Amino acid sequence: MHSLTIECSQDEKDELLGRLWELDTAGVTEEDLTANRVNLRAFFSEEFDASEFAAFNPEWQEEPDVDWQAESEAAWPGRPVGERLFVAPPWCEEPTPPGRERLVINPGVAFGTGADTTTQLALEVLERTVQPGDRVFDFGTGSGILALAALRLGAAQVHGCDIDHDAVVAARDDMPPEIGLFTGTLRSIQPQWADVIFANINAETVAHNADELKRVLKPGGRLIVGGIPPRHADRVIKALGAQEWTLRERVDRDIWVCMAWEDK
Amino acid sequence: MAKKVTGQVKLQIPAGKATPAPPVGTALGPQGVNIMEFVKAYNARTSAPEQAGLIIPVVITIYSDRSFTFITKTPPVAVLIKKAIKIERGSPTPNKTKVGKITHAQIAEIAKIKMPDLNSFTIESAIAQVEGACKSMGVDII
Repeated sequence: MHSLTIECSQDEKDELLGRLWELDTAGVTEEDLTANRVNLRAFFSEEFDASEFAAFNPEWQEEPDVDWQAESEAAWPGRPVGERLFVAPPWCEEPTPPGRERLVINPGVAFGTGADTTTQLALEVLERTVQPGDRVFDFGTGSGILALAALRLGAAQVHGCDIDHDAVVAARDDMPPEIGLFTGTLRSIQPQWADVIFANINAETVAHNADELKRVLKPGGRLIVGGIPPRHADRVIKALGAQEWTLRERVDRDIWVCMAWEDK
Repeated sequence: MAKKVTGQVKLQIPAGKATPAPPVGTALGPQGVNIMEFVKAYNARTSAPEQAGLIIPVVITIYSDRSFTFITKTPPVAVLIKKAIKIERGSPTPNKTKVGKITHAQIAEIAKIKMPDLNSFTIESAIAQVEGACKSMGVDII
């Protein structure tokens, strides 16, 4: 495979793309250089005389023969998280290390693949927070990874929601039937339904929904909030403190803070 | 979930025919994205019969945990013109050699499809852009 890179303005782009498709390109990547300049890189099985593109700095490059599917799969090894969990994609053949629960997540269009610190932090705090028999609600579930962890750690009932419908549809493919995911918000949940709520979202959403979290959480219940940058932590602490909850645990790592609260 | 954007990739690929080979692999592989999942999702979203044979550009946003979302765009004008009047290629010398004819109604139809992605506020200026593309391809407007 060979690639031909040409540089043009936004106005010239469409016509050049039309020509590249006439020449039977396999596809084109587009890279913005400035607001008006763009690089087009078109892929072909063979090099040819590109002199017709002479005005656009044509440059041929030989593309290494890479099995991209294999490369891509290798980029997702199984990953131990915390003390008791192991996150792995569906194709991973690595056995689950002893003493850990396997969370199979197909990384895709839903956030929460397990490769990011914010998800890992929430999983670690969750291990110490969820008790067998709990009813758990995952607010902003993404891939459903936290909901799945709760189920594997013994939660009796687990539900979750997200406002991103594409994420919910994708997450349902990975979740066992016991976990109910829906597109929407906390408003669909009965008062005092949950022993534990996860809200690994962002500071604004948590602060804005403090009343709703209070309504859905049982008296004495527990709340995990994550996805909070340190500079926004005070805002969350103020909003949740106003609900007369007590901060039980705070972990700071990289650019994220995760907290566990208790209604006490 | 606590999302943070880490990259954006723009691709032009045929509707319903994405594969892990270049350009998809070359563009998404180094980002560590699960390529098969993108291929599956793109092909599912571009498999409608009226999309067959079209080039459907896609803009992929990649997040800090290597999950992604994508939006599809409208096909390049030149591709829509060629499909509308069933020609394989534009003219290398558009002023001298004409390769086909297109009606005003066909131009208006293409302008309507392209509207969301053009820098045009009115359908008239979108039509003017499509007419310009016809001229530079050696397609007569009738």
